[in-house]
Amino acid sequence: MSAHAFARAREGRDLSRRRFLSTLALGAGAGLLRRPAIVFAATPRRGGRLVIGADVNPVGLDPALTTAFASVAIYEQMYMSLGTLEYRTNRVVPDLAQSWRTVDPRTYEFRLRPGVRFHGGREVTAEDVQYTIERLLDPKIAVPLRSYLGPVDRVQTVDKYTVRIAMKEVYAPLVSVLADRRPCAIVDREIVAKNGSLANWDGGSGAFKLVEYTPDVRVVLERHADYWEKDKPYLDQVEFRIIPDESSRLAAIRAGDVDMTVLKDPKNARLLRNDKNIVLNDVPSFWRSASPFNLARPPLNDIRVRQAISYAIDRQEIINTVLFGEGVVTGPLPPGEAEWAIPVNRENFPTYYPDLAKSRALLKEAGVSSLKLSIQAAPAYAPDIPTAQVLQSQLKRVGIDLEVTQMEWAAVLKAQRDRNFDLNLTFNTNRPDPDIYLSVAHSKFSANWGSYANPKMDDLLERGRVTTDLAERKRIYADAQRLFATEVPYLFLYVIKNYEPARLHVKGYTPMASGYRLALKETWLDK
Amino acid sequence: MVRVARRVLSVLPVLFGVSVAVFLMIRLVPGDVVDVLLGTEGVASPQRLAELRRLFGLDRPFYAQYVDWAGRMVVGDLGTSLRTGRPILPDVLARLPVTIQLTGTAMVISLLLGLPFGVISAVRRHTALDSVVRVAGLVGLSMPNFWLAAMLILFVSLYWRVLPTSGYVYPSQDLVGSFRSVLLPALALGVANMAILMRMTRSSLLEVLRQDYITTARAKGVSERRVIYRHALWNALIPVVTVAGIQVGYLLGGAIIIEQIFALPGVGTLVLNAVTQRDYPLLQAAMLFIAFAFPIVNLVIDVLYSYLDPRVRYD
Repeated sequence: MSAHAFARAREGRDLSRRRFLSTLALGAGAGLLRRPAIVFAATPRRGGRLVIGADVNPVGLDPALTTAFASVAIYEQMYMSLGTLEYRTNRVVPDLAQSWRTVDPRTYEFRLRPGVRFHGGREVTAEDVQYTIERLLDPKIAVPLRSYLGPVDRVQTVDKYTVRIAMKEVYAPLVSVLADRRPCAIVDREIVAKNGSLANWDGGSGAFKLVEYTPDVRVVLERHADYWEKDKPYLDQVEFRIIPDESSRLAAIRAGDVDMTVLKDPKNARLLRNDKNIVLNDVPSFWRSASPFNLARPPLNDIRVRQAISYAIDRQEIINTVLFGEGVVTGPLPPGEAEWAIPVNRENFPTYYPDLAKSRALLKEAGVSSLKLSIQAAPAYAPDIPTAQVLQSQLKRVGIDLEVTQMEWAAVLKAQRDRNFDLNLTFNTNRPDPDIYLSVAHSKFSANWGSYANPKMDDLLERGRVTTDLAERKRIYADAQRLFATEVPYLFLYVIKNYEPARLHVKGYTPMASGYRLALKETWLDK
Repeated sequence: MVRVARRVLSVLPVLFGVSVAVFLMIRLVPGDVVDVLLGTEGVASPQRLAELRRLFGLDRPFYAQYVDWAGRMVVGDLGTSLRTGRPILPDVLARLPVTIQLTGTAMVISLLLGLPFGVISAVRRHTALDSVVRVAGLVGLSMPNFWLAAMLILFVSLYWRVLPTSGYVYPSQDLVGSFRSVLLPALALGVANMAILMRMTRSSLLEVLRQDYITTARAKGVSERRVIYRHALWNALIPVVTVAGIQVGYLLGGAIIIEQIFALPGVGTLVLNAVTQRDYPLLQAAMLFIAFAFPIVNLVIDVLYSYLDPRVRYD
């Protein structure tokens, strides 16, 4: 071999070695990048139909008339509200209203975004906001969540895009409430006038408009071409395919019959964790497993007995047994409400940490030697009955005989309303404001099913409702949560996770702890 | 014709009885539409609750509610759904064909499988084939239809990708797709029924094969095939037809669960939703349609008898 050839060969080897080393370096670098999607974000593509396997048939589509999440899942896409919620933090941000201010402590002024159009083509104005709120307050209409609006005095339009809401007294939750489409979605008054309601009609201005509503089959939404956010939504259509059985939804997402779905049972969600074709999209939700104590039934009116029960319960054991570890211990405010919820720790929630000796001592001090209680629960929510059964076995350790009474969902609700229970286990869903979360403990609140009455708690809640300074409000509600933990008028156990598994080609979607799917307007299909 | 008309009219007392029973039973169950509407979050003072119940017409005495509903029903006004506000009649009529398609397909499957297996089992009595068929029938009878549905979805839809996991396609949209969408649910629904019809066919055929005229036919040298299919089977089918008619009721009941699992928008789903949501007028209307199905099926059975057995003639 000539020297020249040898040099070239050697150079080739050197180049190969360089190439090898550079490739190795690149590979190592790539390996360090755990989430290439974040570093190399793909450009959203327009078009396509996203098929979502929905769990429940919507019960009408009128935001004022239905609280059912099955309906919210549809109409939250069709409507806008004055504010909306940030996906990850749940903080209120502008939506239909581009800004707001307080004119005086009892009067709020909202300035609307010009040029926003209803699906029918007409521009959204201050008159529509006025109409919407007055409709929510109309006693002739059965609005389940009217109490969320608080003591509204009057609504007036200042000009085409400005509306003022005057309250009878200071009401700090108002902005949060108006940011929730449930029930404060702004509606097209002309559509309501024409049809009488919005149960089966579209009176919205949201990212998607209604094109098909076949009960028990599907709901199809189509892109609103005049949506105010340029280029959004990316999807042409969204189809909510009604598949009530969770096993069937699981099969559908695995088979690719649907692009996305919702699962409630962690047992099913776990099956998808290692599925390479699916992103699980799981987040701790705001849905709290909770039961009031009925203080009208001795000895539950004795704080020592309630504390004893709380000390006897191992919440983490319930999560591990019933939810396979897929849950988070919660207080009266779900941990995901980052702005308001105080951490669940020994300092804030001492009664949350199991202590059987302390539990027995408290029961003895209260003069309770054997106690028989019943807990009502419905199989409508998969974890409820198993949770009640675990509670039964845990309370047995301190000599409390807890009978599990399985009832149908509507019967559980009626028993709660009639105050005909010892303990009544349900899921408490998300609320727009800490005042609404905690009102259950106010002595005069009609949904205070357990008849709990504590002047200190009343004082805290009343002050929190009329305090507009954010820092001060946080302090007040922190105190209220600590009092909740000490007094134990309610047993708060855990929050479940929301599971929204999606096929890999579904991009841009951000799951929300509230269970809302506000991010669908950012979602696109990479196929 | 007169007899048919009389049979149809005789349904009226049945419908009245069913309507009263359903009306009373659902109102005796705890909870009403207002409780469901408010859920765990809706807040209402006692006055507001009373007002809501008045808005839904629930404040009047039971008999007044029934008379009002029955009076409108006889002129074809089934009212509106308490939960959705939609007129009930179009919704029920839209769902009936789905349930009829499901139960009809299930019945066809159970007849197509049950009758031949029953004949084989009877003709090959005390052989290994007879044992296999009878054990298979027992397994089919013992298997819960919801479990079978889950297994069919797992294997046929998920692993083999032969049929869809769930959902319904209307025949007007795609005839083949519609058949494919009800095939798995119909199988899940029809297997237990197939087992019953198989056993009924077997025992009935064995009974007929013991008759003197069959012995005579064999003695005359008629082929065994002709003995069974020309002389014995038709007479053996008479009790089978009776049982098949009764089984329609079980199929309709089982359809409620199967419709839920396979997401079929039939009357069963409507009934289930109406019960859980306490939608009284919707439930009453749906149950009346189901109750009406029984006499109609029995009438069809009776007409079939006259074809199967020439000795049966209706004046």
